Amino acid sequence: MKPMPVDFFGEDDVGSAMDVDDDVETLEIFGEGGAGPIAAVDHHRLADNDFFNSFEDDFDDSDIN
Amino acid sequence: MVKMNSLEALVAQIQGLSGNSSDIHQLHGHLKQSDQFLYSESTRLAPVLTQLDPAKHSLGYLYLLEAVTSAPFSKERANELVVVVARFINACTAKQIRLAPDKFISVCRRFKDQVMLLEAPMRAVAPLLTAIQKLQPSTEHLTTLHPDFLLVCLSTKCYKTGLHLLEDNISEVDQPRDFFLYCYYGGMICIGQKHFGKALELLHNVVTAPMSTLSAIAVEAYKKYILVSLIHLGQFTTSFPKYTSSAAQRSLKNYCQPYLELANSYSTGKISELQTFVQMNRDKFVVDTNLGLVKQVVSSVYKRNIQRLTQTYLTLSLQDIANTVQLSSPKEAEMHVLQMIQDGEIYAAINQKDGMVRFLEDPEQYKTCEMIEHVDSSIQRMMALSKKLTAMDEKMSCDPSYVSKAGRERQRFDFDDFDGVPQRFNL
Repeated sequence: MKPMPVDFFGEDDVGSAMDVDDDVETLEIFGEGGAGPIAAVDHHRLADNDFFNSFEDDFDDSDIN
Repeated sequence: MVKMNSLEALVAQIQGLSGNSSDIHQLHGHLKQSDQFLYSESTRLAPVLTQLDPAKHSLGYLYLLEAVTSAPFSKERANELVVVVARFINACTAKQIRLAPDKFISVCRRFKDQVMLLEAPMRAVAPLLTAIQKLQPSTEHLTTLHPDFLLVCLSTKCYKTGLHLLEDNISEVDQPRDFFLYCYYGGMICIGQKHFGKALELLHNVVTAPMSTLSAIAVEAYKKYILVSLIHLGQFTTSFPKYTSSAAQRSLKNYCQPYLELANSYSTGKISELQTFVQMNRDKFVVDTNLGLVKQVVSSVYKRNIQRLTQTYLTLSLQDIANTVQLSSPKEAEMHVLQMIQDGEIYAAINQKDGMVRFLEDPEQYKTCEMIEHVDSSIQRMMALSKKLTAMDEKMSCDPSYVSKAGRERQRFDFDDFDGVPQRFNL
């Protein structure tokens, strides 16, 4: 029997320890206030938008034998 | 003259008060008082460093070095400083530098900036790993240097070295940004080593981490999560776990539309449509430096289709495999099958005389000594983790901030959940 890879965002058939009742709202531990919907994608509104992400390798292994 | 005397006096104090804990405590007081003086003399301190031993006088050396590196530097100067800092990191005494962690972190971060300026990130890999090991109180502590180390590993493609650090179980985090970057860069390290399961775990941590404002790091992590999910699992589900922040649930998908559409196209199983979609959106993937991963997604369709064949057939010719999976030739089919055998994705044998592939059962019987040891060590790890989680839960339930918040939220939950917590808990 091969171990099954885990889909972290998938819905399990078997109830998990992380399951929460559907009628309970997500607990807003960090005091997230209600904000209106974002009308357009605007990267300037994102936090940490100055983080370094310029790496040469894009994981293209099509040229590797 | 007065300043030079002050400097000489400070050096003498460093040399004389670095012997034992009590002296070092006293020295630390002097150094803190001399902070502004050192910054004012930063351009003249470099020669003074030669009078100190980085191993014996680590704390004093650190204060001077931090002041030296605080001044703006040219590329030529960066080359000299990189050597000095690397030597200090290797030689310094952990006990002493832990007394001034912020200064040590500043020196190391500037060191990282200097090697990046010199376009020689390889020079920082070993020193930064040493710096982390000296700075962290235990392997469970995430430091600000963790993401910097992973960054240089990614820049130099030293994925194996980076992977070694990711084996530590982290349970103490100071700054959320450090955690986001650690998991994002860590996910990329795992992708580089094709440890896709671990990559998914780390990228998932970024996407579902608490955040009041959506982080750009979470956006990039989600894009890679979608791609790795398709490569590793052959599927992707768009729903978020309930513990995901509302900021992420509300807005994350808006920033990742091409990737969600790629996942849709992937789910049809039609390779030509998928390839057309990739071609039409190529520029977007290139800008995100994700084109290589997208190509792996496309390759994975062939793998999925070949894996499906193993569930139906005992033997199949390479020609039939090529026809069914829409590869251009039996030779290409053979290359795919060989690679999958090598990666442990299928169990098969190829008869090159008649071009037939025989699909085999997984030979693992799960009853060898190695497998028993593997299962046993997994159980031990789970037990230790469960014990730690129980301790963390107990500690958190006594935290004033948590109790105060939970008390205010009390009316939204069953009485039994918060029995004993007053409705208004003011501190």
